[in-house]
Amino acid sequence: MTNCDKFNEMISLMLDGELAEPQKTELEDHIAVCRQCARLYDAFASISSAIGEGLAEPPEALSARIMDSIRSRTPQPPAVKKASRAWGRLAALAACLAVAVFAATVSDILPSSVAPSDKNARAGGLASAAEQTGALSADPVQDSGIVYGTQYDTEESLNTDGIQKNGELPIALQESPHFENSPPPEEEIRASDACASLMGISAISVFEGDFETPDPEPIMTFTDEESLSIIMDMLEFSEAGDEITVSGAPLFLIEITRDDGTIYNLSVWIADGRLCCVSDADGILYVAAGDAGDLFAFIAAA
Amino acid sequence: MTREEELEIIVRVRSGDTNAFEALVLEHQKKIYNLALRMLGNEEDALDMTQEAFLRAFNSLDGFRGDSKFSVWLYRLSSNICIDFLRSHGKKQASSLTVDGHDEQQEELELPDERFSPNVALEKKEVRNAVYRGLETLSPEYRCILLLREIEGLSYEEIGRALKLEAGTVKSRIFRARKKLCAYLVSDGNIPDNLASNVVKGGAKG
Repeated sequence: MTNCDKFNEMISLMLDGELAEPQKTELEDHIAVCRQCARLYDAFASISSAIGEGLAEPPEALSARIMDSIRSRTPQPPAVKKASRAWGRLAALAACLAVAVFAATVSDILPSSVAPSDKNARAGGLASAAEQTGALSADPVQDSGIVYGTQYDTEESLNTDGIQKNGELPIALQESPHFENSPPPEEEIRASDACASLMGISAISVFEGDFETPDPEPIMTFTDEESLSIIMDMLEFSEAGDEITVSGAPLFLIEITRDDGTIYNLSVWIADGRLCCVSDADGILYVAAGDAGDLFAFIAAA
Repeated sequence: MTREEELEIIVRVRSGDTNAFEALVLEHQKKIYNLALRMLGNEEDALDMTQEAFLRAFNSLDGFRGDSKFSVWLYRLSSNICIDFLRSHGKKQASSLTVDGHDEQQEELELPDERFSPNVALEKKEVRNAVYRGLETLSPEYRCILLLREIEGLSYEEIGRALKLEAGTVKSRIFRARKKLCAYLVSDGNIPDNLASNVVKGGAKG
């Protein structure tokens, strides 16, 4: 049988028109004398014709339905009912980070007399952050798209009116009396922070889709300085993506390793032809400086 | 539709002529629908995913560089959409198949009869239904790669480009997918016995 092993795979190649001479003749000669391989050839051929010849006709209305959905620019619900779990995790992480930053900032700012109840505020904040995490995984999904922009935002909402105007995330924090008149947090988290420091990056790995892929292997890993700086330039923050909706799993996940060994990830979508990134450091969607096609081309060419 | 015609349409769509996209839909919808149908196993999901694939293609058309065929690019989108859908809906898949199949046993495949010989008047419909059932036992990745070959007729090189796989990986996955499918067909008790009455069934069910 071991002799047939090599012919088995050649049968598959031959059916696909991928077997060149002289192997083709060698295989034909073998099939002529080996019953088992002849059967395998027949079986493989039957599978091919069963799948390839029995194509179903799509309903006539399909193209109209597709064009309607394109014209209305509204993805249909069944396509992406839920944000992927990967996004859920990012949102959870983002929520925790946000709470941690707020809590830390507030405890720094508040006078010490308030400090004891600050603990409660934190506990409350965390508890509702957990609820909020659930809400984040579900709420941002509108019409099957994921709306990121308004969850909790960058400097404008943080700095001008403090927390009150701060979007939806820290609802519990808004309700907490400690926060009502507190000055704007000194620390802010920005989408661009992750990409702002081009220095100190030692590796970039590009993965396909989301991290639910079991044991994912990167499509490509870059470690040379030139590639790193080209990619980081493309991924750099260009503008906030408040109005942008992305749906489905990200096209790429980009894992960025800093010199100190810490890692952060960017999920990359293309929406309206623009490169949209969400860093797991803050969960905020932003439009990157680079062109989506250029990034593809660069990764594909590598 | 020639590649030039296709590119011309794409340019028109990019410049704002949404209606021009319909020609691409009409050209490719049958194959995308069939890919989705065999990937997902039911019409309703297949229609939804076909729509999603074209919608996503339309929305990310700027990302299409024209260095591969539009169809290959579209199959790539569609494959990812179907695989993501299956994952997110936790559809059953053969747990024995890993994504790259490295730990897979190279089991011997015994074909006990002449069931697939062209001389046996096995009803095509019967084989087809058995093959469809068998497809569902494959992991989404194996199913997808085989369908890109069998339905879409992509070359190994095109499949490699569509799925971002090495040529050698494409080759071995297609082969393994076929072998798995054969093993299923052999063990599938639903293939009518009267078609080969003296068949000794091989392998365990499942």
